[in-house]
Amino acid sequence: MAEKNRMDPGTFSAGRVRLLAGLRSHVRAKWSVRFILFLAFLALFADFIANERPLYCRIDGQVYFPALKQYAVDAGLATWEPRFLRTAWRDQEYEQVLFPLIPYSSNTVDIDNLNFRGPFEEQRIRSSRFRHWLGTDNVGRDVAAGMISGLRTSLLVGLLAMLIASLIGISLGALAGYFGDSEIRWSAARIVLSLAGLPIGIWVAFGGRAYALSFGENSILEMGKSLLIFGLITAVFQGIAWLAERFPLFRKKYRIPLDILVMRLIEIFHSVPLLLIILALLAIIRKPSLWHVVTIIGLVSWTGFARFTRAEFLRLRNLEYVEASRALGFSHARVIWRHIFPNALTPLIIVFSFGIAGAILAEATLSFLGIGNPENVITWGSMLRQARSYIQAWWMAVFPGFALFFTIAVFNILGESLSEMMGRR
Amino acid sequence: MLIYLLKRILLFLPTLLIISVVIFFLSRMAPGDPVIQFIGDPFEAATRGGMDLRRAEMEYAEGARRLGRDKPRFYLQLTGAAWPDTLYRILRKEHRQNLIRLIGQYGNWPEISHYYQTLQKSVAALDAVSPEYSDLWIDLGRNLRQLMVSHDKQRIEHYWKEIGQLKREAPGSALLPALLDEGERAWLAVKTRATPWKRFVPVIYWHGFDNQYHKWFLGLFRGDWGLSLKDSQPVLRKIGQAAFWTLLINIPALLIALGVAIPVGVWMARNAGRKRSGLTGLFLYFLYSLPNFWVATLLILFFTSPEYGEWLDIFPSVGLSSLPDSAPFWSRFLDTAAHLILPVACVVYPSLAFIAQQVKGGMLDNLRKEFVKTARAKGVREKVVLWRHAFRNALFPLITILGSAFASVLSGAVVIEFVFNIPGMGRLVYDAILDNDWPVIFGVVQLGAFLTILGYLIADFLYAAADPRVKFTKKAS
Repeated sequence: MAEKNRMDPGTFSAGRVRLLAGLRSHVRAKWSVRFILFLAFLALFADFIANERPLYCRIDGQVYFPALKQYAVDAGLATWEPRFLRTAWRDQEYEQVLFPLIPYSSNTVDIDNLNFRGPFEEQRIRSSRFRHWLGTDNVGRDVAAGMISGLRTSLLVGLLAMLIASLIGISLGALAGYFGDSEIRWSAARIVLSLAGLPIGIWVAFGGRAYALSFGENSILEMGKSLLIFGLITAVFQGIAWLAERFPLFRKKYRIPLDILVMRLIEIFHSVPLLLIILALLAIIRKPSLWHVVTIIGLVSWTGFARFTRAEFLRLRNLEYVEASRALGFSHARVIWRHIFPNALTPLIIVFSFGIAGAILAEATLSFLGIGNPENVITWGSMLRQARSYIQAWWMAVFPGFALFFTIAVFNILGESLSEMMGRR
Repeated sequence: MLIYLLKRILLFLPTLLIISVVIFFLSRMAPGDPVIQFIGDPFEAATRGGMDLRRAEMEYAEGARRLGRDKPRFYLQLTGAAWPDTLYRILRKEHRQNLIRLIGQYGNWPEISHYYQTLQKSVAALDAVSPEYSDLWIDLGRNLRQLMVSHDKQRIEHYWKEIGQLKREAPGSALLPALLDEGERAWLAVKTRATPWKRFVPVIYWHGFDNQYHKWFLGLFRGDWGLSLKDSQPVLRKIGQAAFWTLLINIPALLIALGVAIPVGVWMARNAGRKRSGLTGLFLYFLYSLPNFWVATLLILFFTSPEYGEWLDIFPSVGLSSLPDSAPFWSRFLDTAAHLILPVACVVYPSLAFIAQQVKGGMLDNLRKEFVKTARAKGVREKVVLWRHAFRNALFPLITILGSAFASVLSGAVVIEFVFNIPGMGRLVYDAILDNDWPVIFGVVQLGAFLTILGYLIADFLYAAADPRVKFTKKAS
């Protein structure tokens, strides 16, 4: 990053400084960023806020940091002492102990408080330290701990889905906006050979190796091999095309209408109701997990990024500084990446912000419907789902729903105020 | 005008075609065997001796035919030279997939075909020779059926070993042991005469027009959208029945939303810059950000049961009606209407907020324009300026919104109908997903695509009809 600033002092840092300065002066934007940072902090340190394991404890003169050690155990670097496995953390006899703020993990089952115990109801607890301040669910899981873990899930889903979406959307939008319909000109030989190379490459690399790909010992390694083969075949065909272009016969060039193709693709995605296509995709996956949900949300929501990137690139590519850099003989990749992209960043941050809100809402909706997310993963949506089955448990509906509303609203307000700032500029 | 419209339709056709291909292939990627979902598992009955194997096969073939699964999938097929173009004739999905995997390892279809046929003959012979229900019969049958769906070398060899032991005690005729011997030899041939290189030679087969996609695509226009796997009803009929309820909720909701949002939006634009407009805007924004399934859940929780106080039990509980069919029409009508109040409200409030914001934005844009100033300078009454001059021009964004309403209605219906337990389109999709009823799921998805495109077309048409500038600028570009 530092190097990038040194290389291009005019573009990247200027845009960023302007954005930051705007953020400071815009009250709503400032507060929404603060809230987002706060939520991110909660999500990042969720294990030290809601955990059934103590942060620190001393037993028989020995000092432990169980909440911290959990990371080592999960990574397979350490194992628990037998005593911790035999007895629940709450029931250990500590000499000294410091529990997290919420002394329950999201999946801790408190068998004393089964079947929806409300926040104001009598709870069977040892001391008020162990009170379920936001109540429990049907199997005695703490709602407050679930909220924290739900926050982590939501932010993760929003961020990852938008990373996938922005990766696809920005690359397609940049290509469409930068090259347009007439910038790329290929010879007939190259067009034909590329079109022929694609099915051959796909078949030899993936179709012929289908058995190894799905039943091989190391599927990642096999996938790598396939990708390598595919790359090689494509390279070979491009090489032949290069050779063929030596002959004047095949040299005539044709335009590749990249912009039209990308716009058509966007139109196709816009022509199917998004929730329906997400549902249909999740339905054909045999055992969907959170990762599937994230990937699918990301794969269907890239169009916003593509549209905005394309519009920005269309605007910027005709500016003088871009023409100057082209005239200096910089490669397309360099012009796109170093000169145009940094200046196109601000609208993309807006799309990102709205997109996170949308992805969080989509994931919550899916969990609420009970589709995609496995039952044991606790999210805000799945908690709301439980509220439906037990009408007395208002706390299962009010708290997670409010968290969801608040998170979505914060990201929406950030997007809104950013676009306001853009408009003013 | 007509030419413009035709042009738009022609532009949408390729989109529709691509979407239909994608939806078709997605529907074929669904896990499980649809034929068995459709008619039940006839082979299950056959293994228990309850049904003749041949009859089971005939029933299966009939089921596959009714679902249109007895044809090649598509016009073209990209595959390897090792795979034959006639694999689709093996109807049973399990067997077909297993053969594909076997070829994926050994690449020699003639040998594998012989092996598979010998296995089939052995199963048939076994079915024919031993009418009594002996342990040997069961064990041999189990091993043979396992072989039909095994592609892993070690597992196949394990089953052959077991068969080898059982074979010696095989009853009666000499046919079965001979077939089993031949099967084992065929397996040896598969292993030894492997031609794995054939897998990597790409070939494209042309299957002609008698394929699954062709039939399915034509069916979309003929009104044959396939049969539900769950209850064998035509998908289109199920959708039609469900659409009634979805429309019953969404049409009043749209009318209410428009009826309230337009005056509110105009009012906000007229009072722009004042505190009351800002506060209303904030409130609408707040409404818009409220996830409607949460609001729906809260409404159900607090207002449909006496749990939180008798006076809060205002609305009837979820569902459609609480009266028997024998009740008089008007009381049933009122009862259903009462049941629909909450769902309609949950559909109305987010769209109300959204539409009001759009109207406000459009009005603000137009109130700044010269023609409004001119009208005011001429002394035209404020009401007329607002509604006749500014609002007419602010109407155009609304057309776009209405055009995309179809899609959002379908998406929104899934959640609302799930929460309120209304048997509309959304609920239909939800139930179909739980039951793995693929024809229904993908039927609704296809309908969604149709409606969305139709919505865009209508919006385009209205735009062109309302604003003569559109036609000409579009033509120019």
